[in-house]
Amino acid sequence: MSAAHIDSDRLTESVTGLTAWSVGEAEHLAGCADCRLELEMISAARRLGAAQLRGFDPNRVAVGVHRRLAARPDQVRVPVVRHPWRWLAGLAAAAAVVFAVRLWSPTGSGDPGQAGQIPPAVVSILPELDGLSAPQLEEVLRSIPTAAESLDHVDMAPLSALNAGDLERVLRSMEE
Amino acid sequence: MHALSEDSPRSDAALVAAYRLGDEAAAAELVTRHGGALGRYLYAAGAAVSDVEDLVQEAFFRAFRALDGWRGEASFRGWLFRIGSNLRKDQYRKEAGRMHLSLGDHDVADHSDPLGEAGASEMEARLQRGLAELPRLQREVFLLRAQQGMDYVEICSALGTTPGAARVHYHHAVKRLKELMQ
Repeated sequence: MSAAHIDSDRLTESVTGLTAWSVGEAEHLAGCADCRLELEMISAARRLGAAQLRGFDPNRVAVGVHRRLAARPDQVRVPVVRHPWRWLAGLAAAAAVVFAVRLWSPTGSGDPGQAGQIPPAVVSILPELDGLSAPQLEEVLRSIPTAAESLDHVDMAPLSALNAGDLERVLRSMEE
Repeated sequence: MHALSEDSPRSDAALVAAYRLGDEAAAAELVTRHGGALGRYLYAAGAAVSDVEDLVQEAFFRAFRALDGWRGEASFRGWLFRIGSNLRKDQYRKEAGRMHLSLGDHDVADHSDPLGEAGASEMEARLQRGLAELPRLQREVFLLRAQQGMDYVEICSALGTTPGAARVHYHHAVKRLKELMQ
């Protein structure tokens, strides 16, 4: 038996039928319990679930998916937001998180002494809010009790307005 | 360059494009193509057999509903498995980290085939118990690589990690599983 074990990728490829053993590999495998165990594990993983899910019928799943999509045709191909407030709520939520993160970040541009003012850099990602009156903005804010509770909406179109750095901050704040 | 015959299966990307243009059969073909594999993955990741069909249906429903979020440069399968993986993650949290380890008919020794299927079933049962001991990412990377045959780039799109990290997770998983199964 040679000292070097068979590469994991080769073991996986052999089980998926993408490769055949060389003579040296076959000899190694015959004498190496460690490589054989790994090969058996991969083979077992390939089989895992096949017997237990014998009753699984992809066609039945396809019918179910089709029915559900047909029941909600507005959300199938184009993610049209039916209610503008929901869209704005998502945008405001994302912005609120970015704004909050910037204020809290020790390296951010936020100044605790000017916490009531939105930095110009943040305003620049919220052009859609510019046209709203103060009461309308208040209503948007009331619709998002806290940024954390509103993050369900953040996966909507407004996120495309954020740059990579802002998105990273949003993601980090969601994971905290 | 090979010309595609009329019988050549359409690529996932072609099916997605067809579905976007209103071809409902294309969606059904995608479900048929990937539904079984996704189901086996979710089962191996710890979902109960009785939940698998619902999870697969939900994954496809969300995938089709959010097709605009799929960037064509990543594989549809990786993206679909990412949705499925997230669904399983949510379910896992709701179940407070419970993994379903089934002992179905298939796992009971078949005395008519003592060295064949029974041995294979025993190995599967041991593997499943070992998988339940792994951290989630290690388990999922191992399954996507070993069970689904994905390469590390595709695993990245499924789990939102990097190829290097996925490779490390895989090796950790293999090492730990060997310890657990020896």
